[in-house]
Amino acid sequence: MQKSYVYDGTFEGYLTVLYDIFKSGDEPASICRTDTGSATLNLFSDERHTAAEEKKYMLMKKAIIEKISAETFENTVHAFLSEMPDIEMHIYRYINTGREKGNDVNKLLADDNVIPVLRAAQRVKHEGHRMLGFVRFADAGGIYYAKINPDANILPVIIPHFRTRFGSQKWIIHDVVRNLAAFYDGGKCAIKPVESLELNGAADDETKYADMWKAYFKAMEIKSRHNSKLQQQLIPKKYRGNITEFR
Amino acid sequence: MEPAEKLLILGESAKYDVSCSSSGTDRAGIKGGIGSAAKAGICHTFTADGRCISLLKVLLTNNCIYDCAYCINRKSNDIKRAAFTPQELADITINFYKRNYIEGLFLSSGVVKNADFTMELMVRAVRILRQDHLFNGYIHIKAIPGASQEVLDEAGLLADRLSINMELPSDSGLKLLAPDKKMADITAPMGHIKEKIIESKADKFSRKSFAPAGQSTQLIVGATGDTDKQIISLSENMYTGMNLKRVYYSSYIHVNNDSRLPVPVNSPLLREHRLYQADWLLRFYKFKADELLDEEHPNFDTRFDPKAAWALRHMEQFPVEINTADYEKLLRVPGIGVRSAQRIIKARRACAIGVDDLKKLGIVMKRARFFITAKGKSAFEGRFSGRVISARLLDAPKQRYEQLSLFKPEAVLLPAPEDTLKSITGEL
Repeated sequence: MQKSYVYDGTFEGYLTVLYDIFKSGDEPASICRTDTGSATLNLFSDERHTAAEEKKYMLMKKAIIEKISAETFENTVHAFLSEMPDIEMHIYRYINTGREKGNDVNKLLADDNVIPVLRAAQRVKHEGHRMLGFVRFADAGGIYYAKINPDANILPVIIPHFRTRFGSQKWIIHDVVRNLAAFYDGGKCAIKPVESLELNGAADDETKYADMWKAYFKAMEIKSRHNSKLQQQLIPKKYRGNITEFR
Repeated sequence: MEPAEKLLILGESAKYDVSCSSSGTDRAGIKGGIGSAAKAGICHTFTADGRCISLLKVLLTNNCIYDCAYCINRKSNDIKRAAFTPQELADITINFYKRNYIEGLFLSSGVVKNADFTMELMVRAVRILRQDHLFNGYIHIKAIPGASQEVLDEAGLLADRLSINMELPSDSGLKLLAPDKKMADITAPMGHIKEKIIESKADKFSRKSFAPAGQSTQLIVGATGDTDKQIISLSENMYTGMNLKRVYYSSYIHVNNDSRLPVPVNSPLLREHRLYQADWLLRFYKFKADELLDEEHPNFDTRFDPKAAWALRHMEQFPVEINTADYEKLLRVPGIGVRSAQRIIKARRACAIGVDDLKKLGIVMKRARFFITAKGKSAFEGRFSGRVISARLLDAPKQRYEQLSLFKPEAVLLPAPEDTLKSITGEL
């Protein structure tokens, strides 16, 4: 009987599952995370719960990088962060194809085992790049705090950029969709789950600068060329709740 | 006057400047400082007209001793005037930057007293940013025509990019509309900046680079009678002769009533759009200006993008077989951009590509299908002739706008939003 795998939702957990699957050599029926519920699981299959194991995770990671390619591993990470439905099975098929074709897997741009993963990875990279511009910090008295609501789990993608850019400044980027936040204390950065975040007040000049920015933003439009359709394409409404100049 | 009010006035005065790019720098930052320059530019927001805001684009002052006909800040205009102190401007910039509103500063200015006096004020603001605020972000300084080499040298060591506006495509245009500016005042500093950039790149031991993101310029299009051919040939000269990174085209916006200025015509935006498309073809598609336009066709076709128009005049070079054509050939196919061409080359290394595979590759077939074959097969049904294809190419937009009356031609000629996007990303 085909097995259905349930893992803890972490990337480490997922690679642990992949390790088990490739070790067993059997095609899995499905791979699901615990929090999405087993409703999507096949009732007639054997269900296996797997917790992340550091050793298996490392072995799997090494196998992808060395036997297929670093590019494949990067695509795997990005695609996983997309959190798209069934992405776990798509990645499984993608890596399975890679075991046969090596790094050529990334050239099979018309192969249905490959397309979903490359598309998902592309989307995550794209959203990540957009967010580099759309994140808005407010000075909460020495700590710069930003809220984001991305489609994908892009915190790991954007953190390196903000560490370089604001390396001498304390900041928090809070993903309110996933209740995750990246905390940076001027040296180290960690992503932690958060329920709610209480910050003590705001800097004196916070409103002053936010208002200046809003007024400036409005003034920059060339009225005779108004084109809100284009604007919406470039800065979708779903993000605007957390973007200073649209609030 | 409060800095907030100054910002409004001086932002308003600067917004007609089109350039906002923040890419292509590799300057090493000050240690312990704040900010970084991203190799690929970052847009932080988009205004309601769909333009990207990447940099804080602002004038140091809109006071000006000049009286250029087309300029909103000309001295004969009765508008609100303001001037930042260098300190005020530096403080606003760093505070915007820390909140991730912007990628850096784009500083321009009206001319007070003379070119050097103005530029020294600009340099002072930028020096406060770099030295007091330890700012490592992107800075673009718009140099003032007629500025001395000394002050240009200082500016170049602080900024990522320098630019001097060409303003108008011809000397005669300049004489008519900007009589205080001389072509030599523009080209001399441009040439000097070019030399300094080359010098700085050659000196491997120097830690200070001179305008590492290069030099650019801007032209106003449609304020004078110059043809597209004249403009695009000038751009080609700028790219090859002055090593410019970008030429920006700003379709003339009517802000002053002046008998020397033309009456606004329909769809100046479309013309600007076509020039940008052609500009991409010059820079990334290895086209020459005289291939795109000639004496018989001195202006771009409003119906077709420049590449499609070129292809329709050169049907003998098509169809192109996508499995064998080299990269340069692929790039010349209408609808196939840099990214698509690269994808085709990558994919065909694994196996031969059929017509059905192209869609999966993400190739937009709307225009491309008329000009290619895949494994010898044509990608559209119909006769391969210029007349048939140009009619078919015109078909699609007609449907989109069929509701519009003939008496509103400007609506028909506006580029669709996705086309505007393409002229930003350069996928033609």
